[in-house]
Amino acid sequence: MFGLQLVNEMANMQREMDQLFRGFGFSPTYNSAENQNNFKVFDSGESFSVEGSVPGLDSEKLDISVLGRHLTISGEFSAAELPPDVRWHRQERSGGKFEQKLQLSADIDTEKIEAEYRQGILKINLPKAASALPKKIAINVS
Amino acid sequence: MNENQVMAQNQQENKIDRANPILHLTPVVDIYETAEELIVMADLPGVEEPGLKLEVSRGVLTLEAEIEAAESGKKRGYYRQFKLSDRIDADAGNAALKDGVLTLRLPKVAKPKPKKIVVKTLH
Repeated sequence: MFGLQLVNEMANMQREMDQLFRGFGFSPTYNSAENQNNFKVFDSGESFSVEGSVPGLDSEKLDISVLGRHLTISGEFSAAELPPDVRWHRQERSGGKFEQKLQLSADIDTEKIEAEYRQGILKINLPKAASALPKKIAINVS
Repeated sequence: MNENQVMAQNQQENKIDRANPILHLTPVVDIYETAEELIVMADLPGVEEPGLKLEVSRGVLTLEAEIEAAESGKKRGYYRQFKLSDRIDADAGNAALKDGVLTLRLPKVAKPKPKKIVVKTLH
């Protein structure tokens, strides 16, 4: 049977050890943080930047919307057209639709939001609204 | 400047550039075969074409990629290896990278050809 397989994975000691230590053996083998559609939010003071790895998205179906402080990102992974007689060896990649909702800690200037999708990484820059930025108060010294 | 601020500044100034090894992640893959070929699709977000290395040597496919340097300065990459059957013609394969997804197509060989060794009779 082994000889009939077209493809077999090579054992990788280093990787297995890494995986073991990363999750103390309890997490699934292919569950590194990078492979999940998780988004990270950074607060740089004047703006928020949201970044996430979502490789293979159909960019036409990618939808980003902001309502108040709620950011919603939704999209669909593009699926390859498969012939009927296909035989699977491994199926680990995400498919179908996803939606991610994030709540930000300050109001957003919705006019200045910028989003970029490159090499499977989605980056969204959301400048804070003027009302959310700290204001310097001049002190009159008499 | 209070004491804590002074300490923080000193720490920044004395920052040592430590050896920065690449942290290799295991990319998730889809592998399937049709009548003519074997198709490997791998999620490699953040990888640009020059950072991708695909190699087939002694029937072992090695997929190695480096992620474009992030602001954090941490080097990250992807690494995974597969053993291919001799019914696959790796030389005729082609690969494409789009939106962080690598699609590698490896055609099957019609019949694995047994290699004949000609015996020369020396007189």
